[in-house]
Amino acid sequence: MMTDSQYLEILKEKQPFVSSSVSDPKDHIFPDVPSINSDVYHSLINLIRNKSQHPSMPLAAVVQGEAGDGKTHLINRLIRNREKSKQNTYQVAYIQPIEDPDQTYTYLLREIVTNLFVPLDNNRPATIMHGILANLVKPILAEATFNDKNLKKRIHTIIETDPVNIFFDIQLSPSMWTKIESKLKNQFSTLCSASLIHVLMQLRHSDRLFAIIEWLKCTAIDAVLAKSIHVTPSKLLTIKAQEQAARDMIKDLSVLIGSCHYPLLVCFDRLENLESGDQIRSFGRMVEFLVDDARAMMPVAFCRGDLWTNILKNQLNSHVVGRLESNQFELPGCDSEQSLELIASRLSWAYGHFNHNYFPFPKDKLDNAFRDRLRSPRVVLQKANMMLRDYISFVPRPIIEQLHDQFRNQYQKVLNTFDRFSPERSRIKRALRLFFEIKDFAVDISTGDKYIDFLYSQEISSKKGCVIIDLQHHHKSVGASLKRGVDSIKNNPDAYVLYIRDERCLLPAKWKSTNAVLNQFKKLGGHFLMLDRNEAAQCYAIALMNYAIKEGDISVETSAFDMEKASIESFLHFLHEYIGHEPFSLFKKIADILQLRKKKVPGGGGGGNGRKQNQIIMNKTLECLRPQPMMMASTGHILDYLTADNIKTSQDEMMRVIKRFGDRFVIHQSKTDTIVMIKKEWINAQP
Amino acid sequence: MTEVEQIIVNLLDKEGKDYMGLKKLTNHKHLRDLLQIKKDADRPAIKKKLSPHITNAIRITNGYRGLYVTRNMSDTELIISSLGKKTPLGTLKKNFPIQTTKLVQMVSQMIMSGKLHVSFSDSGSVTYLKVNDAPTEINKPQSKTTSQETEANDDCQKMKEAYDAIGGGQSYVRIYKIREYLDWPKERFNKTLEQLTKELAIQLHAGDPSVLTEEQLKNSYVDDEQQICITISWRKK
Repeated sequence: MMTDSQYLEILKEKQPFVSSSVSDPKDHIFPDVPSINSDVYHSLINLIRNKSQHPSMPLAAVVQGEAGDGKTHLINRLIRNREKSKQNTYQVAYIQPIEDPDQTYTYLLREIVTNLFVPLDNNRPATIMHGILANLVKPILAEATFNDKNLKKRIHTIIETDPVNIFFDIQLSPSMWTKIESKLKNQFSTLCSASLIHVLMQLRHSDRLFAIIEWLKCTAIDAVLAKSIHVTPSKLLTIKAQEQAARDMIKDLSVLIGSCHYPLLVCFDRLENLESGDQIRSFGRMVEFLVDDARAMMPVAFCRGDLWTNILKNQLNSHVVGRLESNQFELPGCDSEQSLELIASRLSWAYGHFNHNYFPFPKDKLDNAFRDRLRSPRVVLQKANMMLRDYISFVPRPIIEQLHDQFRNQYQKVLNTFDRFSPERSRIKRALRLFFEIKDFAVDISTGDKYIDFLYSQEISSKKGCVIIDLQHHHKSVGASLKRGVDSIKNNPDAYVLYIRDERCLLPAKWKSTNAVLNQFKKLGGHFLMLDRNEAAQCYAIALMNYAIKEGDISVETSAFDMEKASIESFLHFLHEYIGHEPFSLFKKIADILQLRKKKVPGGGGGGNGRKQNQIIMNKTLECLRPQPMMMASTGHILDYLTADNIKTSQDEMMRVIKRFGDRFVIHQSKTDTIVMIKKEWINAQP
Repeated sequence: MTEVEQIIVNLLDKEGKDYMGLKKLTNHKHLRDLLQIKKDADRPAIKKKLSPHITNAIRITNGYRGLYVTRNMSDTELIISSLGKKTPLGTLKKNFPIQTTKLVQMVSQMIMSGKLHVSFSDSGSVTYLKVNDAPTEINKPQSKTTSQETEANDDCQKMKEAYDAIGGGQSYVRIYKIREYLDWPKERFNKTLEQLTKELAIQLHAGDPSVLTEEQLKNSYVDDEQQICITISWRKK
């Protein structure tokens, strides 16, 4: 029997209320509380049922909820319950926000294919795509005749129990596979391309998986890869033709998925990251296409309510809005009963048993604390975390360190499941853009050139250049990218041109002319960077964490009593401090190429006079804010107040002090200004 | 009220106006000395110097011809006090301390809520506005005999009507829009919001403050945990 203090030790160690975000919907760390958002979940399940019964019915949905209401968690529940049921009733594809609107369908296809190749479980190499194919092969095998009665019996047992093992547990003769392939081709002769069936039938050869995935993504592949899966090498396509090829592939995949009668739920999450009108419209095109042309796929947008009502709806065409709003759901927040259920489930998770009676919280205290309003699950957890401070002493670590921990977790997660992160240009681009921005470079992404990802320049140092991220497998495409690099240097000899590849996208020695261009590029002073596994994982982790922060999905403890969403500024500050260090070797390499020195944070030393000045600025800021409506004011207003009081300071120094006293102030970025507000505990407290 | 505010209010009283262009302040020598500005100071410079002196008697707005200083009245009150018996919309918007897009939006809302009456010239080319003297559902004076409870319930009902009118059937309606629409004293509005929250009739949402301007944020709501809430959703049908 454990003592109270031992229980408290467990809570101190496990911190059950600290993490309230689901940064990856495929993670199942915390227990699910089915009663929360259960109506919306069951409505989605009904919708899926309708879709599987009537695949031609054009269906789409939008789920609205603010940050922390459980949007990503709901996707997590859909995935978790499907896995638990062991029945293929539906599949889920989780789509990260699009970066490059010129590649709408190419991107959609890449994301769908990546999701279709997620392993069904950890014990075998079978993926969702194997499951789909097994369902197609199953009836053919059931009717086939076999001389070997034992084999027939085994096949029937596998078909009945776990059809995906057809590809792993039995050895069929090559002629039998050929027969199955030709029957499937006949079955789908007018509906989808024969080469798709031909390629998919090779899924039983695990060594061909990489080539199959790249071919399905309509990536330009060279003769060697093409030969390995018995297809003709692909031609280099224009963007328009590439987009058309991607549309055709999605339609074909949809036909195959539809014939299995379980729809693919295409979940668009983190739509806050759609920054431009073009990106928003690109999202709209994906939805419209899926509804109208890929009938086995059902798009569901998970979106912040305010964003949907006041921004996205105004920029999407009425057709898309109408489609999505035909099934509109709202995540309603937790009442007191659900709040307590959530707290109980986290305590059970920490203690490892259910018999805790809410320890250390008295039940009546919880009842009182949670009965006064509806709260999002995240706010419930944050409040519980604050209440826990009455029982456990706790000093939060600096925000930057907490973000470092979160980053390490994300990075480790990517590394552990690296095969699921196939080379993705837009993620690497996002990470590199952030790097250049925190190093005070102006970044221009509107290059109008499909090979060049962005241009960068810095006025003070007069440094400039461009970044070319090339993940193609076709020698002509690689050659064209490199040629663009060569031309860039020739046109501008002072420019730092970076050509970046993922080491999974090889540059074989036998591509003689391509290697010759590479040598010319290097000779002219171009910089070739091949990302190793760690460096690629860092880029993906930075991009994914950036999406999560923008969504408001990452919380940090700002004081012993308070948790709040990590701001994009604190994320950039973290990157600024850590990005030049090990293990960020890619960024260190780039910093070395550009001969960048680590910028000193002004006033970082913090001598005695500095501390006194900081105290004065902090006190005067409190004094300025207290009489203001809602105790908030713009930084311009505060600076004027300080200046009027003869306090010599700059906007930068003042902001640094305000951030340093993060327990007293909250900083909000409004559309027009940065706003500072006093925190609850400091409304009346004396400094 | 600060000394600067007192002088500006006196100037407005003298001219019988509720607002004036910021540049006009430079005509007043004592003000120039207090604000430490020159006679040819431009509007942004005047704003910078004036801001620290503002508490709650006046405010700076962005209007038809740049920056203005106005009495601290709501935009709705400013519109009402500027209207005569039959004021053309075109005349109202000229030199008004609210930008035209926002002004037109507010006027439309006031017409919908019955605060303003609209008529047209014979050719239909001119839109006339006047204050609607007949009390509407929203600004009808309260009967003294009505109990406090009934008043509170009425206010909840009115807030729902405002929510529906602004949201047009959508959820996640921005609080500053409802506040501007109802144009109630701050205490009355906040009290109603708190009552509805407690009854679990609405849910307050923090949302993303970066999509709002400073003024819109100030017209949103800060809850008892000092969290800014920018939208509400009606939960109880």
